[in-house]
Amino acid sequence: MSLRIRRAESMQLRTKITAIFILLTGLFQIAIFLLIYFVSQNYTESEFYLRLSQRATIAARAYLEEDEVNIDIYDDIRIRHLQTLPEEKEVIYPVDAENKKPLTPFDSSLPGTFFQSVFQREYAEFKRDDYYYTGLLYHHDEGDFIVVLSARDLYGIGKMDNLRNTLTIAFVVSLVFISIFGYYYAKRALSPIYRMIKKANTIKAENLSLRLDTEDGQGELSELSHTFNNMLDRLQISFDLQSNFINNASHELRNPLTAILGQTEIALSKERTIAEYRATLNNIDLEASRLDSLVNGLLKLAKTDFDARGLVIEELRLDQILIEIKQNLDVANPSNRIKLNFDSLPVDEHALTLLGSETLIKVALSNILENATKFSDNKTVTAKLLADGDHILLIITDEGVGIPSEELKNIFEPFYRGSNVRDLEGFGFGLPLAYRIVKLHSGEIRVSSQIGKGTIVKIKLPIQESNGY
Amino acid sequence: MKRVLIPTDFTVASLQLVEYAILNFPKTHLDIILIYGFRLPDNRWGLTHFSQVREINKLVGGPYAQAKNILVREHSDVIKHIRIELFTGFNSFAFQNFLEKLDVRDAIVPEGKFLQFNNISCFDTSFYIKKNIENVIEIPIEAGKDYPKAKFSFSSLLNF
Repeated sequence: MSLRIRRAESMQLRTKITAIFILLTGLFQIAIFLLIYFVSQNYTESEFYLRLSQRATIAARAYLEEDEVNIDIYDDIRIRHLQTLPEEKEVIYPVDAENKKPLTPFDSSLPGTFFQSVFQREYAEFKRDDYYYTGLLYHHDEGDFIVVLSARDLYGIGKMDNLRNTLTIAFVVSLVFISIFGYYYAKRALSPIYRMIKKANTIKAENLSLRLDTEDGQGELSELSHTFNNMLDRLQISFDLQSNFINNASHELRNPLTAILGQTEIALSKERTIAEYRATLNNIDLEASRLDSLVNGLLKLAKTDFDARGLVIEELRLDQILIEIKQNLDVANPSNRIKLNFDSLPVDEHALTLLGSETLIKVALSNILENATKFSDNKTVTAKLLADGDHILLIITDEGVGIPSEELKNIFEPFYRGSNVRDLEGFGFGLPLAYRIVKLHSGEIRVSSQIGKGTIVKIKLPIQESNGY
Repeated sequence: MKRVLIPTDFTVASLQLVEYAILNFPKTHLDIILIYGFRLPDNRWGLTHFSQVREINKLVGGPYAQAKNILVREHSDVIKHIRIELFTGFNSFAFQNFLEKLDVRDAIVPEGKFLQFNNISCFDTSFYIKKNIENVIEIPIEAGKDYPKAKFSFSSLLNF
């Protein structure tokens, strides 16, 4: 059900992106096309008025000259070269320019303001329906005249009709293409999210080691994948720590319980004296007390992993942590031959300080050092600590059985155990847990191993300033 | 001290072979020679002005030099010397002469196509090493997944 809701929402998002894209592009196109249309119309009209005014000037000069030949020449030029404009008409009105009065009545169909403009500015333009009028005040020896020339701009109208049709078709066609491409690219842009949803839905408690693909490497979606994977890392560490805790706890609890069961079985096998029962009860009490302190210790251990807010992040000195781990391992396995090499330690103690969880770092490093000892049959294991300014480097070298090269890529998979160490005790989650803890601390871990020769584990952790927390 | 020849392509990943030398020759000091196949220029000017040191400085990038220095520090108790040599020969005879000069009998080479040589003037010396050195240890090593950062392009803008 929830999956269906999510899918419906993502469908809406795709449609929404496409619709917004089409709307914005459409509005932008409309604005641009309207601008083109009106600028063209304005230019066509200006051009036509210019032609009208030129023709009005020529007409005035021709008609108002004394020489009648001019009229013939004008008519000839107009007909041959200038061509008559569609429905062209010239009217010449004798006027009194000083008093701004007509000497013969003006065409009553034209507005009075038009003639007033001619008187004032000696030139005026007017448009009614498809007809364009220009009026020109012409001063002559015989008096003043207003030449009014009118015509229809059929060519301009045709040009504008053609432009309008072209722009309309271009708008419709581009809108169709924008819709198709917009929908296609919205679909493609969101396809990584669908893939992520699909992959995320397959991740369950049983296969928590699965991760989202992050090979695209760039952008917000890659960041989202990384963030999601980091969250899974933290979840898996919690899961593994619990498993680790349960395994350790069951192992530790079994010994006193076996002792108690053994004691009671022996005590109940036949009649005993009071002293014997007392001795048995004392032993049981001893074992129960051990059990009690063990349970208390385990509870304390469990509590230190996480406090109420989650992981406890603090400043850690890696050299001190290594010394503590070595001390613990010396108690657990006195025959270990771990050598800590601090010869290359930097003078500045900050170069060895990182921000992180002490418990987790201890778990990670203990697991690696324990593995190195376990799989090298207590041969020498060297742990060398050094710093390069931005990172702390820990190199753990052992002379153990090594890891087959074809299995190196699997060693960080949970419960994977090398084919050459299956007879040795272990669960196969020590190294994967260490790997995730190192990753959680924005570090790197790399393993070089040669079968029968040994293994080099290289851990690189960022120092306090550049830590990724 | 053991002198070990290791081919390189001047990538940080190729330096992992040095760690395999440390694993394979334990409890001994190592003199590592990183070898790179380089074709000499085919013009007189290039030949007369050829300088191995200058060429190596041109080929070695910052990350490689840094990784090499860190590697030496990490294994300072084992690695006593590490240097880079260019092999500019064309055949096994040239390589034998080269080996004689270096006085080396052990080598670590990767199995398969681990090293990458994209430049036409460079070549992999693993073939000559395997053919001419007595003790060659082949390491079945795989290239790690390094995703180079994509540069901006118009095609990448449309390619989600």
